[in-house]
Amino acid sequence: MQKAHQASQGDSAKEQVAPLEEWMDRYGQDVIHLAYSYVHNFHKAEDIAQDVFLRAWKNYDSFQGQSSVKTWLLSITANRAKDVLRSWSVKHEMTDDGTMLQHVPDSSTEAQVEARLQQDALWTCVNQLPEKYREVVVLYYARSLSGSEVAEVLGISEQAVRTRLHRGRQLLKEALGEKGGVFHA
Amino acid sequence: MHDQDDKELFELMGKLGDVPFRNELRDRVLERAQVEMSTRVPPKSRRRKLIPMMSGVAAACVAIVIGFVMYSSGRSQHTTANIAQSVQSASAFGLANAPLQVSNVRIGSVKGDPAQSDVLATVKNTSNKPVSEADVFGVLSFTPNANTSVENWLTFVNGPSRTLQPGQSVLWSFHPSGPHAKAGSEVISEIPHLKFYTSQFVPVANADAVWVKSGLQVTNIQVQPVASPAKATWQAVDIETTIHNPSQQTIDLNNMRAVIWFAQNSSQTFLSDQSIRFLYHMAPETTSQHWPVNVKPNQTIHVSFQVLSDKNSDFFSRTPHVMVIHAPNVTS
Repeated sequence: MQKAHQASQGDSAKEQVAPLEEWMDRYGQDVIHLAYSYVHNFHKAEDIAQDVFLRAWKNYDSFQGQSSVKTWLLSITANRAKDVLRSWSVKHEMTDDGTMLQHVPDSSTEAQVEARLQQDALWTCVNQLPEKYREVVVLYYARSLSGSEVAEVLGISEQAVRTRLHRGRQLLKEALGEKGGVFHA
Repeated sequence: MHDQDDKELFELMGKLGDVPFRNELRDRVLERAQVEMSTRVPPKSRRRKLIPMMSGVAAACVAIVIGFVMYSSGRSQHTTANIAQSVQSASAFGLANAPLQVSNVRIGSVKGDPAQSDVLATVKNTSNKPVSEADVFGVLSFTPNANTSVENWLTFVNGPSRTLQPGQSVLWSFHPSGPHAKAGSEVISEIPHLKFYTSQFVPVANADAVWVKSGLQVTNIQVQPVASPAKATWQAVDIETTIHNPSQQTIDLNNMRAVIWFAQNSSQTFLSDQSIRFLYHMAPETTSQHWPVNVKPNQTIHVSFQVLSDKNSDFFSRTPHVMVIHAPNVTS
């Protein structure tokens, strides 16, 4: 009897965390990528991602279903990341810890090293964008959200998304140009 | 929107690569979720009027909860230049017992202090490595008598100030101090309990103790200075914050404790001996204070702490954090 009860509790617990597992599997990279694009610090991005999933899981009852789970999670991510950026310590002390990507192993080929350098330089360009442009650029180009989904995540109009994308694209191209066209194929 | 520029940018942004969502992070989230599910509210503790004693960390920092008031949207907000929002994402904290054997915890006095105003203990390093002050943190708590294990007052304390070599013992002491001393006696009349933990979090599954964060949400932390006499050797700051119960259950503050710390950087937790840290009951400290003991579902209350410390404490160059946890077992 005792064992049966324990098994039942275990199954119930497993069922309760099942959505959490599914969300992390499906959207984990979207969430942490967006968080990183705000805070430029991998460890802090992980903290934000953890907070986002646990908050979403705990507040799933309040999820209205008017948006997709993905845009809901990304919306929480954007808000949490902005909260972090507003905190005094982050404004003054947060810097890129340089550990976002796996370290390039000593045995890497020249091409791998080159790719890593390109990634770092590209992140530098993206991070230089003002936040209002960076967030739409990342969501649209890097996470492949539609204009309406970007609007949903950020709580702005689709027209505003289009305007910011236009300006963000210009700024990004300028930044890339200053890098000497490293990324041109 | 998909013109040639767009295509190039899609291709280019694809080269950003994925920010890894590590398995360790996935496991951590699931672990925290499991802890949330297994959280049980500890038995309701009976609140007693405190003995006239205050204390804080060994750096002589002291604090007192001065009041909670019901939140009102019409209430004026006093903001300062150093408004900070605490960022706490963990839901549970795994703690490991420090390799320090604590014995002969007693009330006494060290030279220069009033009689019976200090807590003394013998602390021995039982490991094969030196243990420094930064390696551990402690919790000193009091129970009114030997028949109860429920503390009615607790505080963070530092470990021995000198590094303990393997096998070495030292006399540890702590003198509660603060504004209550002005009221008269500093004599400690209750039973002290002392525990030390390592100053690094450990996985919950391997922890000797787990401090579980309450479902109460703490937001809008504001800090402002409090005027002090010109010659005062102490300084005070007010910490005002908002606490919200998003759950469907009433939360009894008697079963909660407030962990408050002022961090020097974004990664510094309350485990660090470099933090200015405080540990408090979330119930009235004086008869003049009034606040709801039970926070109802969806209720928001405004909480105010007054924190006192020595004059040189750099409160305003630090980030304040306030976190509510379920009352930990620190007496056994």
